[in-house]
Amino acid sequence: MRLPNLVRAATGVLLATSLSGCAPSDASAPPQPAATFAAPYATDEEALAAAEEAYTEYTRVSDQILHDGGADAERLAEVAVGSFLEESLVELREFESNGYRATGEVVSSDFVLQRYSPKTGPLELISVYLCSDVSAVEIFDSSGISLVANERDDLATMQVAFTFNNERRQLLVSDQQLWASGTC
Amino acid sequence: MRGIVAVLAVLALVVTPVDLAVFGASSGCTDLKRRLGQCPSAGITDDAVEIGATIESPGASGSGSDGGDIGVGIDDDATVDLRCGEGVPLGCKAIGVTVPPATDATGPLSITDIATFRPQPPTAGMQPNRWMIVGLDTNFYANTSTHIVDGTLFGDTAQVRFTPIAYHWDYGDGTTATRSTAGTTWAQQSVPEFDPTPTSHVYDSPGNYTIRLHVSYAAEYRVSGAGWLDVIGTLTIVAAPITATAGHASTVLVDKDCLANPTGVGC
Repeated sequence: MRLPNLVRAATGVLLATSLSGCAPSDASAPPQPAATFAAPYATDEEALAAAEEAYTEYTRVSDQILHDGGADAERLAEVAVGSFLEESLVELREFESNGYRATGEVVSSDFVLQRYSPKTGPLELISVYLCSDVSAVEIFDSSGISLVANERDDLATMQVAFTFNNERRQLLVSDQQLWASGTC
Repeated sequence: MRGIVAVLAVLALVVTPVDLAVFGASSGCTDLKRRLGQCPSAGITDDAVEIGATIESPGASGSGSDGGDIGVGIDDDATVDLRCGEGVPLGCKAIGVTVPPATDATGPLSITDIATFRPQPPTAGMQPNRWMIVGLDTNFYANTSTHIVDGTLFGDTAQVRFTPIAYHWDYGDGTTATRSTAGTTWAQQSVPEFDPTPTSHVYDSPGNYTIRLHVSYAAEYRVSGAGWLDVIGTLTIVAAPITATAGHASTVLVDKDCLANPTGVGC
C-alpha cells in the first residue's frame, strides 16, 4: 500500500525538476530601432490608410503625366522617390521623346497591409498589396497604334513599398512589383 | 545595392522583339510598364519562387532615341531561385544564375553565387519531463520563434526570415495533431499541472513512447535591405525526438502523512 505515496513523492521531485529546468526560451531577437525616427502612425490601420491615400495620389500624378505625353515628368518626384523614381523618369522621358500618348486611368483597390515597420526607420516604412486594374488604359504610338502587349493582364496584385519623407511628412512610392498577374 | 535587387526582380516575362516599345530592364514594375503589360512576373513552383528574366532587346527597335546597338540582339538572363526544403532538407538555398555579359553571349551559364539559409532547429518540450500519467493531460510545447538568418548573395547581404506557422506532433501512440500555437508551460499559462492546454495530449495506455515534433515555417527573403518578399511554400524542420514513459498513478485517502504515520489507513 505504499506505492501510491512513493509515486506521488517521485512525481513531486520530477515535477519540480521539469518546471524549473525546462521553461521554453523565447529566443526572438527584436530588430534594432533606428536612433531618431519617430513612428508617424500609431497603428497598422493608420499606416494602411496613409499608404492608400499616398498611392491614390501617386497614380493620379502618374496618369496625368502619361496623359500629357510624358511632359513635365519631374512632377512624379512629388509622389515617388529613389531609384524607382529615377527609373520611372527615364521611361517617361523616352515616352515623351517617342511621341507616345496614353488615355484612361488606372483603378486601385483592395489595399492590404503587408508590413508596417516603424522601428526600422523611414526607408520602406510600409508595404502593401493592392489590386491594380488597367483595363481602361490605352497607350498609343505617334501613328495611333496601340503599344499595349496582347498578354497584358488588366487585373494584377501589386506589392508597393513606401518610404516616409520626414521633412514633408509624406509617404512616397519607393518600389512597386507585380505580385500576381491576372488575379486580385 | 540596387543592382542586386535588379537581379532578383528582373522580368520573367519574355518580351518578344515585335513592334511594341520595350522599356529597359529595371528592378521594379513602373507605371508605364504596368500599363503596357511589360512588368516582371514571379513564377511559382511546388517549393520555390522563381524570379527570372529574359529580355530580348531587339537592338534596332526603331523607337530608341539613341540609335545605337544595331544588329545582334542582346540576351540578358538572370534568375534567382530560393528553394526551401527541396533537396536542401534543412534549409533554404538561394541559387543565382546569370549569363556572361553580352560580349560573350555564347558562353555557358555560370552559377555566380549560392547562399544557404537554415533556420534554427526547433526543440520539443513536455511536462512532466519525459513521463506522463495515463489518463491525465501531458503538456507539450515547441521551443522556436520567428528569426532571421543572414547570408550573402552576389556579395551583398541577404536575409531569410523564418516564421513558425504550424506544429505537427506525433505522440508515438498512433495519434498525431497539428497545432497552430507552439504552446507554453503550465506555469506560463497559470493553470494547474495536468490541466488541459491547447497543446496537451492524453495517453490511454502505459508504455514507452517516442514523441516527434515537426515545425513548419513560412519564409521571406530580402536582399540589400529591400522589402521582404514571400517565399512560396513552407519548410518543415524536425526537432529531436523525445522518449518518455507513461504509467498509472492512483490516489488513495490516507490518515496523515504515511512517513509520519506509516501504519495509518491507506499506507
